[in-house]
Amino acid sequence: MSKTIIQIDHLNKTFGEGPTAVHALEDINLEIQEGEIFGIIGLSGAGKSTLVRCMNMLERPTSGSVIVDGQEMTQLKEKELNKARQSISMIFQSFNLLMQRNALDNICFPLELIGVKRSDAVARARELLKIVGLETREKAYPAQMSGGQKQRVAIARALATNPKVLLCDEATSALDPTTTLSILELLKELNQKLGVTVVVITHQMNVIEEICHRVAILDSGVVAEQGTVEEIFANPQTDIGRRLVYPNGVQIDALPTARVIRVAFNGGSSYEPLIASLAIDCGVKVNILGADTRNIDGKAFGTMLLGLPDDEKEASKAIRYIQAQSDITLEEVTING
Amino acid sequence: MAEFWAQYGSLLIEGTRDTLIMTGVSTFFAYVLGLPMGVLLNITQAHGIWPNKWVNRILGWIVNVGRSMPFIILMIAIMPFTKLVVGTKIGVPGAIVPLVVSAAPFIARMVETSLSEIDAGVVEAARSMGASRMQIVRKVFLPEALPSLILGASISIITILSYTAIAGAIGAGGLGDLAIRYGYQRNVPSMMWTTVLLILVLVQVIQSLFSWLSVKMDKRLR
Repeated sequence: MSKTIIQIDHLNKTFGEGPTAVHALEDINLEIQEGEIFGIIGLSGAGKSTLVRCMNMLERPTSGSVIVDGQEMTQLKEKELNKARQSISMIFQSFNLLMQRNALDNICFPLELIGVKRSDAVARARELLKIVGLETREKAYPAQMSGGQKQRVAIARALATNPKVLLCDEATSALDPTTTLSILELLKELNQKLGVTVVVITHQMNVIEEICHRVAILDSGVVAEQGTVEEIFANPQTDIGRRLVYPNGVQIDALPTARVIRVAFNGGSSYEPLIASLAIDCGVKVNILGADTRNIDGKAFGTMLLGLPDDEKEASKAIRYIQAQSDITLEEVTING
Repeated sequence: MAEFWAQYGSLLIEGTRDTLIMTGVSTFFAYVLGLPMGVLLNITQAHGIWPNKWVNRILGWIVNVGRSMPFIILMIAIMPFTKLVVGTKIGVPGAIVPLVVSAAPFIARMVETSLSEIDAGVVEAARSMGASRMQIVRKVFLPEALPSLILGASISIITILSYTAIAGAIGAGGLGDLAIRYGYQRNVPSMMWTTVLLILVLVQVIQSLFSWLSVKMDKRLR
C-alpha cells in the first residue's frame, strides 16, 4: 500500500458560538494516499469547501488533526504554513486569476512570492503553459480568455511550485460539459505524469466517475460513506449515496428486487439505440427504472438504471451485450432494502 | 485683451503655478499618509487579511473626525501645528499642511473602497499559495485595484484643487486668492472669470488625463 499524504483525524469545524453555532464538519476521518485522485462529493452546504480549506488551513479547524505530507498543519506558525502551502496548491470554481496580469505573469506569481529569478520564472511558466496547451496565449489577460482557458492557466499556476497535492474546489462547476471533460482529462493526465495527488471537491457525480479512484460522500458535515468509486457506485450504502449515484427521479424503495444494473454513458454514440438494439439484437427486454442522460455534441453522457429480466440467462446476455459497447460502463447494483 | 494681459498676465501665471504646486505637493503627501491608512482600514476589517478590531475602530474614528471638520475651520484650528511643521502659517507652504491633514482621511476612505472591490477569491488564492500579508498588499491589492485607485486619485486631486481656492481666502496664494482679491475685493469681473476659467481647464485636464490612464491600465477591459 502506498504512502498516506493527507491524514485527517477527528476533525471538527464550528462557525460561530453558542446557540447560533453552525457545525460545518463533525468528526471527519479521512486518509488520502499519495498519487491518487480522491473525490469528495456532497450536496451544497454539506461542508465540502470547508473540508478542503481545512487541508491548507484557509479555514482553521476547531479541533482535530490534519497531517499533510508528514506535517501537522494545525500546529504550524504563519511562516511555516506559508512554506507548506507551496506544496499544497489549489484551484477554484471561479478561477481566481489576477485580472491585471496576463497568463504568463499569473503563472509567475507563486514563483515571485518565493523569490525565483524573473528569467527562471518565465521559463518555468512557458513550460507549464505548454503542458496545459496554452503556449500561444501567454500574453492574454484573463478577460480575454474563455472559462476553460482560465482554468488551464489556474492549473498551470497551481503547478508552478511543483506541489505534491492539488486541491480542486468545484473546479469544473462553472464550465460547460465539454470543457469540463477536457479539464478533467488534463487533471487525470497531470496526476499520471507528475504523480501529483489530486483532491476533487464536487457536487457532480460524473466528475467523480470520470477521474476519481476513491470517493468520500459528505452529508451535513459528516462522512456518510467512503470507498473506491466502483464500490460506492455499485452499492451505495446510505440514502445520500443512493441519491447521488442513482439518476434523478428513481424511487429507491420502489426498486424491484430483481437484478438491477447501472449503466454509465461516457461519451459514446447516443444512448437511445442501446436499449433498442438490445431488444433487437438479443431479444432481451430491459426495464428503464430511471435515467439522467444528456446529449452533448451528439455524444451521450449520464447514467441509466436498468431492471434486468428475471431469467438468469437473458440477464447475463444483456450484461455481456452492454459490456461489449464502447464508452459504456456497467455496474450491478445491490439494493439493501 | 492685450491690456488685460499686460496688467494681470504675470499674476495669473504665478497664481496658476502656485495652485499647481499646492495641489501637487499636497496630493503627494496626502497619499503618503492616506494610502497606508486606507490599506490598514481595509485589512483590519473583520473579514480582512489582518483582522484587528481596535486598530480598525481607532483609525476609522480618526478618519471620521478628519472628514467631518470643515476645511476652513481646520485650516485655522491647526495653524500652530502648521507653523511648527513648515515655519509659517501663510503662503503656499502654510496651505500645504492643512490641505494634507484634510485630504489624507478622505484619501484613506477612497483607498479602502477601491481595495474592497477586489474579489475575495483572488485574495484567497494568493493565501493558498503561501503569500504573506505584505505580499498580498503589494502584489494583489494594490496592482489589482490600480484602475480604481487612479480614478480615486482624480477625485482626490480635484477636491484638493478646490480646497486650494478656499486656502486662498486666508492668504495662501494661487488662483483662488486672485479670484478673491481682484475679482471680489477690487471688483474686476474679468479677473474673476479668468481665474474660474483657468480652474475649470485644470479640472478638465486632470479628469480627462486620469480617466484615460485608468482605462488604459485596466486589463479587464480588453
